[in-house]
Amino acid sequence: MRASFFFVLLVTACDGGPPPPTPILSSTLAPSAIDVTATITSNGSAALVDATLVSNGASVRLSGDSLVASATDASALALGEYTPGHYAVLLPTISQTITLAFLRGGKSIASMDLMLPTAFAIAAPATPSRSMSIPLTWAPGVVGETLALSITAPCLSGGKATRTPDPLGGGFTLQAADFIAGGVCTLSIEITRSASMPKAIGGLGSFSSATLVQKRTLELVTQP
Amino acid sequence: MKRSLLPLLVVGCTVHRPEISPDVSTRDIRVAVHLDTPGSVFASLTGPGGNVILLPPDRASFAQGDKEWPAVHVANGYVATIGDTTGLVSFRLTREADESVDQPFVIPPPFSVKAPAAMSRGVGMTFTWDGQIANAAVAFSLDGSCIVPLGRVLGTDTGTYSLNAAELRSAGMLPGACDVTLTVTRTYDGAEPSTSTLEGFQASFVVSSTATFVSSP
Repeated sequence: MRASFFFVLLVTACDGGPPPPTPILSSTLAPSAIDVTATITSNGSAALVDATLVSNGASVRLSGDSLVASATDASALALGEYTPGHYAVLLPTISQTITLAFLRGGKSIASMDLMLPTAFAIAAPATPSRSMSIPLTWAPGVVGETLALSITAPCLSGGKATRTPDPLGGGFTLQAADFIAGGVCTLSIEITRSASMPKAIGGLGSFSSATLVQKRTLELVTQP
Repeated sequence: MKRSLLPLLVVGCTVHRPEISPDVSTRDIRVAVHLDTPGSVFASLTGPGGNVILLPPDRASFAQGDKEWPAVHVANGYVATIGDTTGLVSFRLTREADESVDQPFVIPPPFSVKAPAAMSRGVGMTFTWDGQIANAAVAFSLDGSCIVPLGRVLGTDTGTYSLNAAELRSAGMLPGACDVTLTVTRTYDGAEPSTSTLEGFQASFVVSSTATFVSSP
């Protein structure tokens, strides 16, 4: 009685949980039954194309099919699987438009041009002092885009800060009150500009969508 | 069986007895001071064995210049009514059989917050507060039924801060107008360097000030 009780406990403790369900092979599905959720993130010199394939909530593995990303300045590259149902490729491109295509038997079944949010670069004072405001500037965005600013630095209370700049504006000012006094401090600044395109990929599942992101980072050395 | 329960009973009945001052050297006493109720200041005295109770002629008081406020024993410490006294104050421990100490510390003064009487969330706002103290920690919060609550811990007590429109988000389905309360809180460690022979001294003060204004979309 006691032995069987502990055996059950041990089995429960050592069990890593049920094995993940086997992905559905895409070749068994109509393209319209495959929902593709894509996230494309550009840093200005390359775009990371990441896609998740599901059908009725179950992961889908490409079989005889392929997802291909391309741009006017970059050859088409097929996305590779990095975990069941998840595919990615890094496309070396500065283009604002990424084309994502679903191929079956080598033939394009569905294709969509995905427009990245407004490109930008972060500009900051050459020798900023934390005793004064530090203005950061970038190219203004357009309606429909969102903007997020995050900073990590030892001279911030709690070591990090997130701010919400005006998505249509062209800058944000870090304030002296944001910073802790001290010596030289490097701010790791990250700004992401995002836009969503629901039902972005025609011909694929109706729950397909795309999130498009421009991400820029800046290491800014500040003086007290 | 009954005997095996004895240690449990002993542990359960252990009482932490306070120490009396004749048994504790000044050099083994740690003192922590903070504001109690408005106009009164609280000091806890802790020795190696726990709270220390002063037996006469030992006594505690607070002093500023030629003024002295005796501290009376309350639960877990001593309280003195000092009114609106701020600035440099001393915690005074007077003893005859051991070392007496005068430990200075600073009580931060009250301060005021100024915000616009009316604020449009579509424009943003700047607010100010006075009485800046070096090394004080400042935090603020905004609260009202028509806005998403916002709070932030600042790094430096500069006395001014701005929020842009994108940071002031409306709450609810239909953006409306409401009274919004801005609270600025200053936290300050007021202990000053001294030659006091206390084992340790800490003076922590939290002072808040609020301003209320009308916020509209």
